[in-house]
Amino acid sequence: MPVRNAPTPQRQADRTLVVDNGAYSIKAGYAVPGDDLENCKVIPNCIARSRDRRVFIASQLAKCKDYGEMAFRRPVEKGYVVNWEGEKAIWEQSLFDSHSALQCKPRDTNLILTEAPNCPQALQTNSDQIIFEEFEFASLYRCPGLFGDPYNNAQPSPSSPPISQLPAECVLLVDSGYSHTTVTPLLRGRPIQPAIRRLDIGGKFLTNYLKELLSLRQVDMREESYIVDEIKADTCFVSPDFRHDLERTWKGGLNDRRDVDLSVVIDYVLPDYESLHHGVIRVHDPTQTIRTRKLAAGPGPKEMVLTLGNERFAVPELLFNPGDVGMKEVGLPDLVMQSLAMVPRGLWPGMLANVVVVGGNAKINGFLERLEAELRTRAPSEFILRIKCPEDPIKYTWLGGARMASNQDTLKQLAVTRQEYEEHGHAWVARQFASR
Amino acid sequence: MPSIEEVPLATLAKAGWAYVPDTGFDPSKQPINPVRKQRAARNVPAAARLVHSARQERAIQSRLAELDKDNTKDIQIPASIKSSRVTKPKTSTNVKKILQSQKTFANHLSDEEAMIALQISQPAVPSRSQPAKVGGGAQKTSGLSRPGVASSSRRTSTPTTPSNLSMGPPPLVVLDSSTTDTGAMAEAEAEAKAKAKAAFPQDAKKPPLHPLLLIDALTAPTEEEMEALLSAPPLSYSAARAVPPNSAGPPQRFFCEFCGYWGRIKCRQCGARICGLVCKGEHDQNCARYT
Repeated sequence: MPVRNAPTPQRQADRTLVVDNGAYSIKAGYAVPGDDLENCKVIPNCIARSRDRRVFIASQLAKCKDYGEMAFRRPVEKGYVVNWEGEKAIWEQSLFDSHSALQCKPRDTNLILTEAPNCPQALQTNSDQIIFEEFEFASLYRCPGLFGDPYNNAQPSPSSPPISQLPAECVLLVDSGYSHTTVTPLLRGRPIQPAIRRLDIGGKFLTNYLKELLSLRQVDMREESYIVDEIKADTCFVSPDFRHDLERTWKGGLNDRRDVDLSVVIDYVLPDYESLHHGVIRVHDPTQTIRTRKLAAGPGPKEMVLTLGNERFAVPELLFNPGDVGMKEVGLPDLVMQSLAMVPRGLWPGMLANVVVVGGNAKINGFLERLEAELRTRAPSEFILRIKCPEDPIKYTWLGGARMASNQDTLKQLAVTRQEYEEHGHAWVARQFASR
Repeated sequence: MPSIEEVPLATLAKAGWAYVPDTGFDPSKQPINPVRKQRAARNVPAAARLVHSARQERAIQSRLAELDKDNTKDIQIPASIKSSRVTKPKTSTNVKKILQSQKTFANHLSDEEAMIALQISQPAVPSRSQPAKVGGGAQKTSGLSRPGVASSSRRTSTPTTPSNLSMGPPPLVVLDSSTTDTGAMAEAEAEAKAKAKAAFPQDAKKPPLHPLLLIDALTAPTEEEMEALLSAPPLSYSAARAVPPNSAGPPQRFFCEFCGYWGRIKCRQCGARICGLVCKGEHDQNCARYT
């Protein structure tokens, strides 16, 4: 153990920083009484390079004017911090820097850090070592980002009155994030570990699939991660009836041409970052599309227009049918049932009545309705099924951590202080987090 | 994901013996080898048609890996770290090692799998970094395999294994003691009896019932069972992955490469899926260009 010149704190600090360290964005903020989502800062968890070779770290990305051909480096892979060199640069810039919104002083701060469940042991140890030896936080509670009740009450039924004093015993948490989608049954706020299941499709996979489809069919978008991400967020939806929607967007056979349904098929004007900084959705006009494309080299306004038809719903469809790209995994509704199969049947009614969907993909239109409809056909009919998405599905996990941190006694029980780490070493700390 | 490599064909020319890729059904080994391609295709057994060849499998895997990437090209963006903290500690050797590590997640995953394999082969070797065993002596299963059937006797219900999820019959509870006996139902009855016995051992002495008379009653697990559930160790990364869908389920859907409609036609040259004649013309241009 290296010699320190600063005295090691005996106990926890007063302030607690809650960091939900996602692969796409960091959700960070101090835990203060009163659930205020304004305290939670969403920071891009990436180091980006624009086409004029400028490097943007984390929140500097907002200053960028031209997102064309933006290249990204993300230190978090699959929900786990894999590259601490990059992550350190991001944390220094957005958490510790004196110009950052948080201005964190690690020595006087407790840290609650979330990671994806089922993390390889070596990566867990790396996190502990960096946090205590490099950043020197006063104390740490590292946990899978799975907060249901009692820390967080999503109120699955809108009609029932708030029952914050009586948290739901069982919650089935569906977390559909950037790298993957996990299903976790929570009992009294604690995860049932053997029942956690993961589908390897998340927001990144969907964006890349949309990128592939657009590049193959229309314009080469392979280098345009940022723009395709925006297209996905602006236009994609989950179809309630995939076959029907596919028929609606078909142009017909050689001898029986059909008119496509203009409520689905749209035109999307790509940003050129000179006059247009964000893509625009337009009513589909076949002649217009052909004309502007042909005239792209000539005079007049030069704009690139993509026509989006079945791409709009075929992309999020992967969450429900991963087999469409040949992935040998079941879709989300079956994943929920796989997870439930590991839970005693006596808990099923409670779980099914409290399904909470969080993560960025929960924002895709129609996602909740489709999941509910498909789960209804799979779950036993005598059980009530209620699916709810919290007000802000991205900050939900952070909020759960913040609520937990506002209870000093709970935190004292769960967290490990730096002094304990230095006394017992990282293996002991790993055992503590596994058992607490 | 197990990687299956094709053995280079060059070795076949040498004398002696060689590894030969096992590609399943081989028409050349058939006693009568049909001349026509169509007939050959027709004679392939249905099961073999569903199984991808090694090359197809590899193509699918590389496409999935491509879809899971952050950038299409491998790029190096240097991270300029400037520490803003006033009193910065001396970087310890552990931290240095971690910061300089160039390992990707795939490396860490294979490390973990190797460690698990080692623990299975040498269970007595204590490992420092092994996850803690909690919840008393009964929970000595390490988080390697799915604790499915093995631990089922401890619970009230019989958890179904992931392969037959949600299709498995619910645990059944004996309610009425009137008995009707039909020979045709004997097998199902025995199964139900075994299930009832597993669920409620105290009911074992009651006479078996007609399956239709058994009703599904739920009982909440006891306090100890809940505690055991909560203190069970986490699974490994690969064990938590979703299991493949039921092979009897709906077949894979294919889509037209050009318009995204159902891929009803398969190109005979390259195997690409096309919706019909409209997109075939467009495909033929590209297909001819690249072959």
